[in-house]
Amino acid sequence: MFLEIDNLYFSYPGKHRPWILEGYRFGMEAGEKVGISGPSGQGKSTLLRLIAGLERPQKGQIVIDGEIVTSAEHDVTPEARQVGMVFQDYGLFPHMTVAQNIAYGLWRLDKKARRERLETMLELTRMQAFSTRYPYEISGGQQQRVALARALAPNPKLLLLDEPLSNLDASLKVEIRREMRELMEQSQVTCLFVSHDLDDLHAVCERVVRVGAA
Amino acid sequence: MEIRAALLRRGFGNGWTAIRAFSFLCVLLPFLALASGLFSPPGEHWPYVRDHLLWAYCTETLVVTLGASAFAGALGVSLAWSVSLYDFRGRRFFDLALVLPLAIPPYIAAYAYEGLLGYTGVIQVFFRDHFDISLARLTTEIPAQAWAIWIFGVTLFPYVYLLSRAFLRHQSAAIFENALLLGGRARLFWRVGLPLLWPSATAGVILVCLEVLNDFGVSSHYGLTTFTTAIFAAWFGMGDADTAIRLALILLALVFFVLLVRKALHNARRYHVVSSQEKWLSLHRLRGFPQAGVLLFCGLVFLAGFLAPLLQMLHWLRLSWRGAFTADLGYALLYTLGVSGAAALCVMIAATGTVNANRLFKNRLSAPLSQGATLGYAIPSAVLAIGAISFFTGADRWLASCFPFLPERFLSMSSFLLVFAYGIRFFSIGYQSVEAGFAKIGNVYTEASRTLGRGVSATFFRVDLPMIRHALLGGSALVFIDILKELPLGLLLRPFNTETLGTLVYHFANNEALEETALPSLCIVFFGAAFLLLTKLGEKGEEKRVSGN
Repeated sequence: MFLEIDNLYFSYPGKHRPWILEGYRFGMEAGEKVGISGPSGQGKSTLLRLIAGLERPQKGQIVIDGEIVTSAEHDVTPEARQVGMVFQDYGLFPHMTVAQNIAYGLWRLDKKARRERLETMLELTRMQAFSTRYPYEISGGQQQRVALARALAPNPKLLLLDEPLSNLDASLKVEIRREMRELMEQSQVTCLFVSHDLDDLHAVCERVVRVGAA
Repeated sequence: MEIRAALLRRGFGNGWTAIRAFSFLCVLLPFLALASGLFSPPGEHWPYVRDHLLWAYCTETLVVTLGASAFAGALGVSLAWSVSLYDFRGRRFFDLALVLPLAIPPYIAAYAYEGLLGYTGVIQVFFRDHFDISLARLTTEIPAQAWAIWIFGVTLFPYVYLLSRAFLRHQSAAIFENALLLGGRARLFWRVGLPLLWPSATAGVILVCLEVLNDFGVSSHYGLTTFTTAIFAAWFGMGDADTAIRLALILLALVFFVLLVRKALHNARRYHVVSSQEKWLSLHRLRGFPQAGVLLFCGLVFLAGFLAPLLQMLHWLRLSWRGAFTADLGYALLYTLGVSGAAALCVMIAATGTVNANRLFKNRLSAPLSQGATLGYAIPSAVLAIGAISFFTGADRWLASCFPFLPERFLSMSSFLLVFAYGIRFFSIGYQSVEAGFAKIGNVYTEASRTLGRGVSATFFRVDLPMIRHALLGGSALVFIDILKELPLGLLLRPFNTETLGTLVYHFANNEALEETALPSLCIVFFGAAFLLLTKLGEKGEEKRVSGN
């Protein structure tokens, strides 16, 4: 298994808070694109945050590519997990241009390699013409593409998508879904996609699992 | 291994949490030193003070504090209501101008009012010369407490105004329009507006309360026997440090009572106002008499709190300007700007480190540590000064025994002590500004940066810092203004033979040379007003920029 989650327990801090995830188990193979669906508040986004290391579970183990990143003994920081994430509202840095946003995670590369990778990502997302614009100067769909390019640029082991299409108009969604699927296929990244919209998940993922009530 | 992982996750052993712990320790140490005074034998004057003066200190302090808080509260709420709900000529001007009284320290306003209302002052002369009316009773028969309440009210109301205005600015129109449809304008204020405003207004009133408890200049000018003047009298007049420490501890208990009231008011709130961004409160256009009435009210308060003291200072400057530009003033100006700048910088670094540690490394200690570190603002300067002196005197003794080559009283006689005390007192202002800045941007950018491989510190400098820079600049300006205005710490802790602008003004006024107070006072008012306006304009620009996005 490439990603292995075992017996995961999580609740937000505070007395008598209910478990968001209780004994959760999940696994996926390298290169797979898996969708996660379920009702609101059942822990879909929390699961992604736990995998990214942005939250710490009370109990359980997470293994990515053979390395234990979360367990009672291990706690790998988010920056060391090599996990890319696209947030629901994208989280594009407003004080950086499109190019600076995409290049942000490429700091380990030398200057030449960084420029080449940036060009590749701009080309892949068809954002070359907008590279010097700031996030607020581009449309919602373009922002979504930049967020995806930024997350993919450092070649993460695992890509986490947290409702990345929820802020888009219905008319835009169909086109963006197609673009996303193409981008995923080209990058061959292992991907975990959370959405409450099953159409989004079926358009991009090979299989869909549910968290929560079911 | 398990313990190490847990400790790292909670931020133990990292620089950010170290800054948080250091900030807390800095605030704690002077108070520990002060508390240790309880165990030392009482000073020789303590029995007399306890039996004959303590009751007077309590009643005078309470009368002035409660009176000033109620007056400032009434002014602040009514002005915020007028500016937020009504459109009238000059509304935009007053929205900015009504903040300006904060640039006038109450003790400077008190000196200016003495000039204005005294026998040779503009008002008495005008009425005597033109109408043959004597207003001599104005200054002789109105009790000193009433004058002090007036001065505090007209100079400190902006605390209530600013918080109430900020609340009303972001209210959804739906609540107020519904209330208006169901019951008219008078009921709108009493039944809906005031209850909703209550938490913001009481937060402002508590700030006024703490400022009044901290005051020394106004009380000393009007000869009031409040706790602060009593501490000064015990320390300097009687030369009895132990009695001063005991009085400081009683004042501290009073302040903790005020803080408990604040907490009780906060906890009693059983609802949360949910504001929608769909439609902000719209203004009701005033015409005719109502417009004239609101205009007159705003104008009179602005005149009383800012314009009149300023004009009096300018009048005194016209009379005294030939001898006003002295080397002493130049040195005091440079020294004040230097220590204010240094303290503001230290405060902002410590506050940024503490807030960042709190948002990234939460543990059971983070809330009490940061709440403890922000207590400094509530602690009256006289109390803080005595605590700081007690602590640093002990530290000097220890340093002298370890490093005999160091000069005598190396820390307690240097500007370091003053910067340290300013830092503790105004830490919470910096803290709240930084916290508001981080709250505005949320955690998503930090999280995005960390999933892209950047650590906590790199994320801070590359992502967080550029995004909270307006909050940092605003916070620095507020800290700087407050330090500029601060009097008791300067009086108690400045190094020998050194003056701040505030202490210079105090000494001139104390020597009955009121005209000489003009230039140093105007320096304080000028820098204070300039920074206040820049902060306000910066906030407006930021709001426009955010809404433009």
